[in-house]
Amino acid sequence: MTYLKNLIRLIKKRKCQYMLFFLQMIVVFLMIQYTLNLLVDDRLFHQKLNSLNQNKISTYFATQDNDSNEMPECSFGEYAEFKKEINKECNNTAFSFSVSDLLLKTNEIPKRFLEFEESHNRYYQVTYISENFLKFYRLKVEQGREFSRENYNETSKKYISVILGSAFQKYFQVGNVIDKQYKIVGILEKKSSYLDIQLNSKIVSLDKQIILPMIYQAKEWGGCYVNHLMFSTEDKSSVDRIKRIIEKYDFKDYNIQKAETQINILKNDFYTELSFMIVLFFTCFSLCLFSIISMLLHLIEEQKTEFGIYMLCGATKMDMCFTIAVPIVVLSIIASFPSMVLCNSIFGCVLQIICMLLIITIILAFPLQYWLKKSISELKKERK
Amino acid sequence: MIELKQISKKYTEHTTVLNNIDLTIKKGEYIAIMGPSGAGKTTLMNIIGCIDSCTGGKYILDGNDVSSYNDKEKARLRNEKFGFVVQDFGLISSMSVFQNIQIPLLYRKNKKGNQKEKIEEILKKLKLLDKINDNVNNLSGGQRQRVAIGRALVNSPDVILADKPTGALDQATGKEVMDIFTELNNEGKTVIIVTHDEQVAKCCNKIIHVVDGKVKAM
Repeated sequence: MTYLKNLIRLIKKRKCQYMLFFLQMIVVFLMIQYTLNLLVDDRLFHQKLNSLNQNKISTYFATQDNDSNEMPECSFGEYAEFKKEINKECNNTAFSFSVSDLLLKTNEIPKRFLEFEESHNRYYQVTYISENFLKFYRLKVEQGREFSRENYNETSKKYISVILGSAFQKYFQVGNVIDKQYKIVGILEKKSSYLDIQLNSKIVSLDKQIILPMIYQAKEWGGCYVNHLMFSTEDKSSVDRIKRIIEKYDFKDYNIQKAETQINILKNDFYTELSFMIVLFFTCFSLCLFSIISMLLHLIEEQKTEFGIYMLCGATKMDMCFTIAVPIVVLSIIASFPSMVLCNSIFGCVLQIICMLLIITIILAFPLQYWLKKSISELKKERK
Repeated sequence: MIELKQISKKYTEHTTVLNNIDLTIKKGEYIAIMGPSGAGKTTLMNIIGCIDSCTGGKYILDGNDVSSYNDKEKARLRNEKFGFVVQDFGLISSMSVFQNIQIPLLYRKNKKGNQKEKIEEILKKLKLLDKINDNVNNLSGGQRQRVAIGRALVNSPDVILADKPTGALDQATGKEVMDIFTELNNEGKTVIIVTHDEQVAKCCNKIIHVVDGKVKAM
């Protein structure tokens, strides 16, 4: 207890230095958290990129010209025909998806899932998908089932089948009906996501998404299928035939591009950003570390007279090492809390803890080495 | 009893501070160590007090060879066997009288007993009980040195080592401090004082001269 009181007294006596140290450590840990998140994103990004190169069959996607604002006109009937013709040419590998919002009246969904609210109407983000979407992105349903062929092609049933993202499973189960209209047939695995290589090249999480068969969007806008059309084929002539089908349906300004080129651009962009952030991180981190170690050395120099007196009275060098190290370790652990809170996975937290221990070791190693080289007789002399 | 046998201390190959010193200090002796500056007086005291290690020879303390003791064992000896008093008092300025005297008790192996009572007893003896909660910065030089003596006594050591204890004090105050050391010696404690002051040395029973790393007792 007295030892603890002495420790507190030591910290209070130099509270400005310890406060500066504390703030620097918060910054260091937040930087580490950000970099770890980037590296985790990188891993996820690669996984998604790899899924686009499955079976080494070339993947293509339809893209509208940048300066074109025309929405492709297409009736519901044409949608079905168009889909059939495309799939015939690419061995039924084609799929599409579309992001929109859905008005729901239920109060059972928490506000954090809300996309926006307007005139007391609540809108939630929905992803419309066609066949092959889940298979292509290797997304799996944890509970219930995927959409059946019937779900993708018919709208005559009493209920509209929906699949929910994993974040919904606290609030709904398979078989529940939302708004007397949407029946939950499945819930996706945790951390389900896909890579949208056309629009914003980001990993899009499906955890908070409601997923519907595209046919329900096509009823209003048949052209939705071509908007995010993707297919796989090794036959270059089938690509030309698909282009002609697109022209035949008068979908203006759409081109077919090979996904590989876009993927390489995305990779380069991502790595440029990653490299820049890592360089920035290491620069800031090194400066912080240098500052922290200098401050610790200065603290030791300031306190060495006091430490010398303690050792004269029977304290060992290790006792003084603890006196130096304990405030540093305690303040570092407290400083790591903000970044721990931002961790969104156990793996991330474990990595964060390992980094914290490593950093504490690095910042203490040099000052403690410096301290351990001092002898009591030197401290006695230096006091004079 | 303290026995130094052929004790040497070298800092470098060319810098020998103590040269094959043989010295025996019996229990209850009152010794002054004198000599010119740089003679090795403080180094000798540091070796006796287990603050520094010798580079050659043997140091026998109460029948035990402590020359090869490690840092932890020496720290225990400093805590239990020795009490140190230094010229500039060696007090921690941000602490009170009580807290300064308490320091050796924090590192004592056997933590039994009432610390407050022990400290109050010592302060009563040193006539500083009314200053127990005062910050040491508010005390006079003589009072501070008495606090330092109190700290040196709190673990009831056998040996008091004082390095120029009156160096920062005026003559009258210095005499007061020396009277305390004399009283402690009368109680049976071994008192070893490093000093340049002849008047201080006259208070002691034995004077050891250290010249060029060698010892001569008188």
